[in-house]
Amino acid sequence: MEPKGLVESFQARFGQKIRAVRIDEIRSNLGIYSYPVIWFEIDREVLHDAVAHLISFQFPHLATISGRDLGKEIELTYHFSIGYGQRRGEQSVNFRLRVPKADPRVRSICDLVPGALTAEREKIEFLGVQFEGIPDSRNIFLPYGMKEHPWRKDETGVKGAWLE
Amino acid sequence: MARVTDERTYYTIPIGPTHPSLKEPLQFAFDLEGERVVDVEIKPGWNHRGVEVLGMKRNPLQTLYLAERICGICSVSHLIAFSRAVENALGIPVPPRAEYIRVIIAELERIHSHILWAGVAAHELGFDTLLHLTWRVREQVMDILELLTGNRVNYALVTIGGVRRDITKEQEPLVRQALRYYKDLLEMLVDAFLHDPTIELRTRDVGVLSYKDALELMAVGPTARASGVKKDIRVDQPYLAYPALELSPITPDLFRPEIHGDVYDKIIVRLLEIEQAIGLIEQALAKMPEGEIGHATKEEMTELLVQIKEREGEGIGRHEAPRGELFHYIRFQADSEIPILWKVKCPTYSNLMSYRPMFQGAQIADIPIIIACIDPCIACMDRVIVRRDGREEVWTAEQLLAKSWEKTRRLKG
Repeated sequence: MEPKGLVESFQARFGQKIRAVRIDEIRSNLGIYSYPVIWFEIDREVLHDAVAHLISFQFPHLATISGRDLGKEIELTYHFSIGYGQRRGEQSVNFRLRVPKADPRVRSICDLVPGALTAEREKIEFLGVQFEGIPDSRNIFLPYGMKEHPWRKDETGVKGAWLE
Repeated sequence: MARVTDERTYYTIPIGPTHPSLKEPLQFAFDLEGERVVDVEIKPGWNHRGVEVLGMKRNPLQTLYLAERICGICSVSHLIAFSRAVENALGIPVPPRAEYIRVIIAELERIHSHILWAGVAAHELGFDTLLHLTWRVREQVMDILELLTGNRVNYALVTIGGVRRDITKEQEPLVRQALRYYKDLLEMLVDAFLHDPTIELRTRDVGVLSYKDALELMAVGPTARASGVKKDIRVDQPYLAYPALELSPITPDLFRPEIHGDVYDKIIVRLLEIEQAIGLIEQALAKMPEGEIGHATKEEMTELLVQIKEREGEGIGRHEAPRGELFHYIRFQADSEIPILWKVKCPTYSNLMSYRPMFQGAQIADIPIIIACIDPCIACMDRVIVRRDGREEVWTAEQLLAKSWEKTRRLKG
């Protein structure tokens, strides 16, 4: 599917809930090929539906979820791609959303994409995000029982000695 | 999923996180019913070093050295993915010749990584002669890597905007000679691994990962392809010089009629990928144009750093490492050369969840080969916790290996 068509399909389905869209065309340095990387900024309440909509094209590949502390909010970016299995057919599709720290809830996508569990558990422990409906919310890379969130830049983050 | 609670923490670490061969020690807790594995609980993170946070305190030219050291075996893979992320974020071009050199080193790395894995798999099954043979023949590719880059591991070859060393006319015949050596050897390796009745008995229908599970659990690399999921970034979203090269994803049906997704299929995929890598290097050597290879002088490097500082943007760098998709994401703000976000995702992170279906129903003696079959970024399994009849026992790697070898001996009669 052409990236423009994909973007239009998302805009038709979700309207204003898609706040911004950007399509980067990554050109090969050999000058013979390029591939699209799509960046969606969306409201957190449509994430689950957006992933379901993406699945209607092809069951997507999820590389990981990246995230950072913005002060009052936490930003998450879901790095998907579709079109794999087809020569030069893969395009990257990223969903970016923000959750307020006072209410850091977002719906888990593990019911749609079971392989998202590792990435979601990592965001729980490192950023203190809460995923609603996640089958297993324990720490994964950090010790069980560790309460600090190392990627947070506030008082719930790790202190000096951890970073030295 | 888990019967382990938050209150229960395991500190029985006989070798531990500082063992030099371990990058990411894993802990497995197996639930058993007699000799059968009912379920498994996996806990990674025993050696989480917070590398990403360190990278957010340095400029990307400094982080190159850090990124390369995330993994020793696939060190050029991390540099390729990291450099591509920075280049894509900031629009930094790479000369075509450098893209070909990157492919040559990446494929040489695939050859050495897959042969290393084959040796480990042979060892887990109790075929130590085969282990020593494979690691002996691996030396040839290590020598070539040393010849081309100056080092056996951590080559420091790839940099942002190109590579640091050219491949000279004098070096090319030596690379071709090494490729011929591996071509001649392949038949013997295929015969030793895929036509040996005992290896077949130990690996067929063991550690099965179905197509559906591989797809839904986000398996990558040979682990996914052995189950028939045709994910290969070099084909799907080609980068470096791959768009100019002929290749298609390797699946086990190229060797036998059906795809089973078992350990045997994973051996097929890796052995055939050695052959594919040889072909790719030959193509790259033939097609490689003359020209620049990247920023060479101090002035050019300063210019590059200024560009990194002035520009802003975000970029993804993906690379098909020997074990599967390696993913780097980086984001810069204007007026700073320090990235505001760097996220690294290695192939084992994606393949971790595939362990569970592979272990369910397996025998204790098959644990070592199933752990090895995804080629995890942990070279050795130093502890396993077994829960049987409500009791908990800790098994060492030696005990488990002894059990695996005993099974091979039994099968040999």
